[in-house]
Amino acid sequence: MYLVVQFIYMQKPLQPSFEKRSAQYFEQKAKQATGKEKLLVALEMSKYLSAAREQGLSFEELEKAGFKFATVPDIKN
Amino acid sequence: MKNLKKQDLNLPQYPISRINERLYSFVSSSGCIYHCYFFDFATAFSDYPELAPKVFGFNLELHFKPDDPITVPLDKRIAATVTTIVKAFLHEKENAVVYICDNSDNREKARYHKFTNWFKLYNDGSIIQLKRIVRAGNTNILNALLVHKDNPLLNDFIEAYEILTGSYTKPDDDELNNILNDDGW
Repeated sequence: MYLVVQFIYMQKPLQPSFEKRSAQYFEQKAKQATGKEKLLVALEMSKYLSAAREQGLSFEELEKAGFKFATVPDIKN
Repeated sequence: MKNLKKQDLNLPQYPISRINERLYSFVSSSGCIYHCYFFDFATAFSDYPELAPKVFGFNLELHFKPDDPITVPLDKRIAATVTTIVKAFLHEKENAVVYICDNSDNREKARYHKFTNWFKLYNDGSIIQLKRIVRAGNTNILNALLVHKDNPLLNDFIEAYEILTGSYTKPDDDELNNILNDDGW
């Protein structure tokens, strides 16, 4: 039994826990950052948005947390 | 990439669905579903209040992958589809896009080369692309700026981006005075 449990554990590494953030969190970090460090904050935010959507958060929920998104134009196929 | 035949570039894009006012989606022939959206990038350009509200980050996400996907080597229709989406967004000549490569799985270099090559191959000349690899903290940030060539703020976007990425140093007041008072070449 122990071996089976250990095998499963090895096959499925623990997912890093997802912590909800607000846009303000990133704004504050960007304010404290200078130069290229601002891009580091932008990278972190981009990754957060992908992770949040993977966790099932909707655009509406993300907008409630202060994030903004562009309205995308129609594309004729 | 050099061996791409001319007809490959004419491959049709996948049909693009506008799921809602924020999100595009398309399905590749392997059955993978991709999502694309543009998010506010103003915090990075906060030193440029005129530009900041017009700069957007671009995320391309693999939303669904079948358990047993059909293998399509180098699916060029994905490239055609993504470039169509970004070009449509920039078509209004108002906004700029920054693509910043996710490094969560250490595949940022592959993403960077893939994405920037897509824009080399499928650019009809209307989009200016600047590529940069920036070192901040202990992280390499692979990114690219995309702007329509007729965007009235093109030069401002480029200058701000070059300063942000550390590839351009704005002249200080003394240097500017010297430049302005120098009547020779």
